[in-house]
Amino acid sequence: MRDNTAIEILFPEYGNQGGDNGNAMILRESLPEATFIETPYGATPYFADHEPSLIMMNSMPEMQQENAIKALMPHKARLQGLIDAGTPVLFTGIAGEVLARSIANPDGSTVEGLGILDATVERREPQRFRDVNLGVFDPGDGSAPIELVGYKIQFTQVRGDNSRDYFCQNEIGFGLNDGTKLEGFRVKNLMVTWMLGPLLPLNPDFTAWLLRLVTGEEVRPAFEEASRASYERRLTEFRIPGVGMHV
Amino acid sequence: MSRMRFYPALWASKATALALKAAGRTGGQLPGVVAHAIDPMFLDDIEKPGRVVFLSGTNGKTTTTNVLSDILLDNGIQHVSNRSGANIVNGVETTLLKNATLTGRQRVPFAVMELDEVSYRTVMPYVAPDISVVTNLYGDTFTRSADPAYVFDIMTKYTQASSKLVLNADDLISCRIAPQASDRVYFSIAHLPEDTPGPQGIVCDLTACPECGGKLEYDWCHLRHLGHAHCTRCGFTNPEADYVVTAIDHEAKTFTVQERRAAGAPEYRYPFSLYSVANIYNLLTVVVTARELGLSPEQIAASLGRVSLPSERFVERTAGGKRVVTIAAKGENATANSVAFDTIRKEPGTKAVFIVISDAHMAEVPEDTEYTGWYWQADFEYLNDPDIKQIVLYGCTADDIKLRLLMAGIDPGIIEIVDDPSKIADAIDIEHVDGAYIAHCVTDVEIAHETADKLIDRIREVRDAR
Repeated sequence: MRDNTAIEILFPEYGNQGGDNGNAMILRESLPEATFIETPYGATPYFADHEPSLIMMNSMPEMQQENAIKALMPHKARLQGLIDAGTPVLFTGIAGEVLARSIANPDGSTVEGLGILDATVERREPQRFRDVNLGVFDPGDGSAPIELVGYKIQFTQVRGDNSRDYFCQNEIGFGLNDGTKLEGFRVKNLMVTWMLGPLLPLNPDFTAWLLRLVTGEEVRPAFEEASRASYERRLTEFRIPGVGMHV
Repeated sequence: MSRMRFYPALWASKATALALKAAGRTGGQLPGVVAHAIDPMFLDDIEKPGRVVFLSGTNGKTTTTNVLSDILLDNGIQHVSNRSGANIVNGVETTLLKNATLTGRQRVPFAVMELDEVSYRTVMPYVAPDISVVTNLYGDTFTRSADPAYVFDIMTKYTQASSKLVLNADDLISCRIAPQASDRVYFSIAHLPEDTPGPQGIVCDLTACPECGGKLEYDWCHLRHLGHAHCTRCGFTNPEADYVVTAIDHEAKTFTVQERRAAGAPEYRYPFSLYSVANIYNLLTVVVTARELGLSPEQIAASLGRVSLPSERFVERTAGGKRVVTIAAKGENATANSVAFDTIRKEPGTKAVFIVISDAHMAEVPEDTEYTGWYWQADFEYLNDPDIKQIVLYGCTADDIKLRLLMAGIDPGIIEIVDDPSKIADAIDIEHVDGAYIAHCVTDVEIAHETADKLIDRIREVRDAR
């Protein structure tokens, strides 16, 4: 039932980088009856004692990634259990890096991650990796594949084998790293993508699918017509040979 | 120094500067580009002026640099400056090479230059400023500069320990820059009646303690996250300020600065022409830097009465009792755009608003696409105001802006997208509002002013026809 929908947004005060706060904004507009739990740094996550309909964490600065790891580490087993049980989890931008085994800094030091994903992260500051992203997401539930558009802007490259559990297969844009077109991770309903900015506002079909997954009902994304106009334009624009972000 | 490279670089770049001047073009930083291409160590190799001041910070650095430069000139203090805003390594090189003789000696021994924050990395290793000023740090150009913490780290790493730092005590991000530099001067604005209890805006650049990540408790905010706060976990708070704005007299158009480090903590009054908290911060930064350079309060106050703030960012035209205002804001800078929208909201009367903040289309390069994520950090909610009767959009991401406006609760019936620049002015319904407000990216100045001129012409035509 939609009014029983509970969406936990982890560390929203950190997870607003590059416009990633737009993801929660469109979910709130699309699900006005749902309960949104914002868990700030220092508070016990809602998921520790409850089973949310969706756990979402959005892109954050590198320093705050380390705080997020500290805060989530005591709840790692519970988070793993929820993922194994199929609870929808969406991490966007570099938020998903906290789930990796480790994050290596340019100076050689490393930060231990939650180890939920069999991957390692390399920070390459000051090298900034920017790319537009156009790939296909397979819902895996019999519904039609969905083309996703988005932006990737990060200092990191990710090492790991996601050949059997990628989030989307890219036509345009790099995947986990420069050497692959397989983007992100998908483990049951855990979805980890390095796309950031307005992922949900910009992808009405994916958002509609996510809303169905989260609520069990057909819910259309808010302002779908305007969202679709942006989406269609990016689908065309991102296929222009040599397209890149204006910097 | 590699003389084999330096002198050819100097002469070629000076020839470039001369050719540009002869052609009637400023050329921005092109001479520096030429010098750098021939001698990649040009900035290291060229002689530096005996005294250098750098002014940096996300917002306000161009204004403060130009006003400080004007005040110095008004007091007969000769110096060189990069007034055109060429503030990366090639811009600094251009300023210095133009000031150099053919043998490489600096003519004027004093430079006051705006410096891009990320360019600390490429400039500071070769130029040791006597004074480094930082106005503030906000999120800006995420595609290039990531987040304020990243910029902070760069500035901290490359700041010279010998420099005197002039810092904003109200900005808990930038006030912590470069602890290795012990000579620090802080400025602040005391609590104001119009302050908000917490940070303004949909996204705050400082919601967590920059020291420990703990929760910040705000006492007040003047502008976005600039204000007074403390960490509930580690106790981190604002540093004590040496210069504090203790009063603002809106009627007399003056602000009072108390010099708390001086004996007796004297207070001095300075004039301002146009009030906004951002302008007071800009003027305060100028006053403090000028004081640290040795000018007296009387000299500064007199000069401030004579020099004017750069006006190209807020240009007003009037005709037939209606106002047409262009307001510039940097692309991919949510704070600058939010402040522009807030300014529009607070202006009197009913309004039509034209937004042209997407700048990729101006480049007319099909391969360029605009990163739209920052729209979700800018406060389009400010435009959800009953006095705003129409919003016209133009640009390659107009659909994205429309979506963002809808999310801000704005009536879809007042939003109109125009796909041809020649039709923008016609689409703006100036007849039924008191004024038109054009919020534009700094790269869209031409289209903004053309539209404004057409609106003024139309207002006059209607008036004359009556």
